[in-house]
Amino acid sequence: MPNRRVILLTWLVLLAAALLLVLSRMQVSSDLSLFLPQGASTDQRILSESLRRGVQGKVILAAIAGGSLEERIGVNQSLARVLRKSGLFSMVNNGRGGLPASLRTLLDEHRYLLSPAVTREQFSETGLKQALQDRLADLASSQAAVIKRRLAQDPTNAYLALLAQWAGERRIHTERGVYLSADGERSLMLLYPHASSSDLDKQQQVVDTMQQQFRGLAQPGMSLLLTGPAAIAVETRERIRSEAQMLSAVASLVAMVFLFMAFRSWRAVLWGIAPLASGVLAGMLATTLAFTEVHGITLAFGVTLLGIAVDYPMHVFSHLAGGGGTTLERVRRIWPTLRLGAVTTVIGFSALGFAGYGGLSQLSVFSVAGLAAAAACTRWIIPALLPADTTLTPWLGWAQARLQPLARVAPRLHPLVGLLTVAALFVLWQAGSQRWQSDPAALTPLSKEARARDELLRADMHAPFANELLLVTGPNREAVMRHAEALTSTLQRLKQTGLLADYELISQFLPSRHTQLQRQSWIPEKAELESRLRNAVRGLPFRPGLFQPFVDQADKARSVRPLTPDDFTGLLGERFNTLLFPLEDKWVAPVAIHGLASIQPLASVLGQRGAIEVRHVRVKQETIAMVSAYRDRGLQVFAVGALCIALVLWLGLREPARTARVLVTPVTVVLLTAASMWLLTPGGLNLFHLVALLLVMGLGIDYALFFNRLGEQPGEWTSTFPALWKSWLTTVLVFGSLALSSAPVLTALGLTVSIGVSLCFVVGAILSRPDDTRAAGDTAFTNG
Amino acid sequence: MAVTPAPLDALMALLASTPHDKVHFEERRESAFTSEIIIIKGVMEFRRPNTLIKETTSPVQERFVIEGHELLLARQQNGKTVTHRVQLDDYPAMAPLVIGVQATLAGNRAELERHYTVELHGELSNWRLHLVPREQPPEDEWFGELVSRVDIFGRQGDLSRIEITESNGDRNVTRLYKPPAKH
Repeated sequence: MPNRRVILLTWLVLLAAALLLVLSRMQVSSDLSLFLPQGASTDQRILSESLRRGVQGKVILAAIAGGSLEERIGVNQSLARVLRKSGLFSMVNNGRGGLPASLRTLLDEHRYLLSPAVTREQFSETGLKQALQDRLADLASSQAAVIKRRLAQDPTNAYLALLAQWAGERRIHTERGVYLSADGERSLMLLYPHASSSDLDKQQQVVDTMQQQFRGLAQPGMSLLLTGPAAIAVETRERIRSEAQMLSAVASLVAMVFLFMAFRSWRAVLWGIAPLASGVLAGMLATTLAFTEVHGITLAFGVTLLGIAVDYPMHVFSHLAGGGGTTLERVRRIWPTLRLGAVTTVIGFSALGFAGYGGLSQLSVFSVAGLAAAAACTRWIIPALLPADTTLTPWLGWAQARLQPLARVAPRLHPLVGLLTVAALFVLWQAGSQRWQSDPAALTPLSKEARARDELLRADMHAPFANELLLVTGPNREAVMRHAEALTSTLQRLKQTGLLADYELISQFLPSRHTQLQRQSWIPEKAELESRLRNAVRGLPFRPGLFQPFVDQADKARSVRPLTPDDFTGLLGERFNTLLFPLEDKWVAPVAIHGLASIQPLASVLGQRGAIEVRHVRVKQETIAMVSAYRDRGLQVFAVGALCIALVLWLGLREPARTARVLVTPVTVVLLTAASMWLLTPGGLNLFHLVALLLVMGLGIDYALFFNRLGEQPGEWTSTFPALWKSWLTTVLVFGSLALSSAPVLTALGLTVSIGVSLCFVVGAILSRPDDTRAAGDTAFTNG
Repeated sequence: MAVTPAPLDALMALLASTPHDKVHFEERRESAFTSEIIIIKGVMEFRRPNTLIKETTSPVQERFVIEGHELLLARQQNGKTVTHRVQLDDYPAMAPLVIGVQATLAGNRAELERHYTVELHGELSNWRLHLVPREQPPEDEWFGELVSRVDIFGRQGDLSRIEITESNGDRNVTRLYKPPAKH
């Protein structure tokens, strides 16, 4: 064949070009929020935005467990010392050290604008005198040595009051200067790396350094637990990467061994992998071109979804086992059925693209491009690669000999399928909507263990997620900050009377611009302050000129610019970023409320006041509603996908009756699989189960189409049937290994597809019409 | 000149076994901040194993309790009692300020040596403990170094005088004496 070489060359050039593009352009992201629901109502969107902001930070929470208390404290101290010297962190806080020096300077310079202690009276002569008398008393107290440190520059204690407010009352227990969990089982550390949160390689280096240094210091039996958005992202990426590598290695090996066993030809093995490889490359390329960043889940999930592309060459090779005609002729004979199966699956996955969620759109593009490329490779590349007269000798004859009679009598089990379907419908109806997973974390690639660890360390650090929020929304940042400020007094009162345990909002850290300017206006001019101070100090035994630093610094503060959240980087910048942010055309300040006994005392602050609105949100309920909405959307997508599949099938088969007959298998299989998953998954089903079900639907159609071919010619039992059971076994082996993954999304996929494809094979065999003499492919799209 | 550890152990044993009665104190604070010496008076009490209570009666009203590594301060300020509870571990720079007297009264050599290099001068009948704070880890720069040395004077198991020299040169000299007998 003269154009064989041309085809082969073109293919190789395309593969090389794709590989080059992928390698140079593809950026893998691990932004966990990409697969988070976005929310329908305003409250939900705000909630999801703050979730998103929360998972984009890079603060690291570390805990040292195991060993004796003495060892936990000692290793913590040594590790903190080493890590401070490593230059990788802008902050390492293990109980002392507190705020970074640069931040202390910033706060100190702005203390007369920021401190809650600053009043107009404080700068009057009487106010100053009162402050000086208090300081004199301090000098006679046990605090003298400490107070002297800042006496000359800050006699009104503005800075101390500011720090006290910032520190709040959430104190982490310490022993020998080291943070400890309440039960003493873990010593703790809070770190803030320099590396950007999106630079996972750098974050990886940070995590590796920590673990490595820890191993050098720790006693056997001790462990370093890490959590925080970046640490989780690194861990997830590492796990996805290693699992995807391991699983795809296992899957490839399984497929190759199986192909070899089935056809006893290394060529078959090699060309059998070609469509899968082309598909993966095409998927990566398409996603890279369509999106700036490809998510790690898209890659892991997408590559495994494409595992079913091994079916295509399996069908081709099975038809090369016997019978007449050239390779190309025989490929052409099987192609219409193969194409119909592939097209329906592709259509099903393209429906995902309309879900309107970043993650699912990527998955859609990846699988559509990948499956299309795999099918095209099977149709045009494989025949070009194989000699025109290729005949493959099937092995595993004994399996064929045992399975074939079983398949032939399978249709007798028809009533059983009917019965099981009714049972499945009952299970699904019984389950109602309760068994849907309501935890958004299940939609992330986090392992259960990582989630539990995150919760544990957050509790240790007294930084739990709030159960309730007040959402302050307004037209601009300043308006929202001013309103939040006004809320603080109410919240403080409720806290003092015990009606709420704690709260956190932006105003605790940063006053509005208005308040800062007001405080600034209270600072007198230098000469005026000097004269007031001179009068105030009269009669008190302070050394003359002692307070010159105060006069100078107060004067300097008259000209500083009020601070905004933008002035804060690092850990605080990250924190402020979740406490105040723009969303759509509004600004939002979520106020975290802990331990609120009743909403009643807050009722007066809720509602709309001019352009400002304050709403109360129960986080858990909203989150559940959000995930439900996400799942409803998923169900819609699934329904649209299924409808598209049916439509394409009808277009392909042209006859409603035949279409209906082919559709019976996938519909039954999907119902049975859904019911089994419902019974098998303790946490309930999630979106990824739905995606997997879509794949099962596509597989169901493939199996139905091929089973229906069995009646066409006598030869089909020796060509199509072996392809079916071999495909089934490969799929079960490949996806079964996925079910062992620690990432919930991959487990969902693996389990659902393994069960689904087994049902496809069994139900396909039972519901097939081997006696139907018309070929399924005959009327399907004219060949070309 | 410094003596070998043996006499230090003897002193510690003596301090640990002597009952420490409630004593009066008069502290004179000389400071670069004030032109006058501030004189503080009150009562000091030690309860085993490691609680030191300093009650100031003049010029301020204050109760300062050092219990192990916890500091509890209750002060009368503008007619109100203001209390502070501080974990010494949170502010390690403060330790040399308060641990010296407490650990000496307890006869706890290990605790003393954890915080200071210890030198014993003189005889048991008339001794001086010279305590120089150990270097703080650099991360504790919040207060910086508060104290440059502490000297404690005593006779047998009783303390007679405490001299604290702060790192800025300020000196506090505390004289301890038995309450005048009441009849």
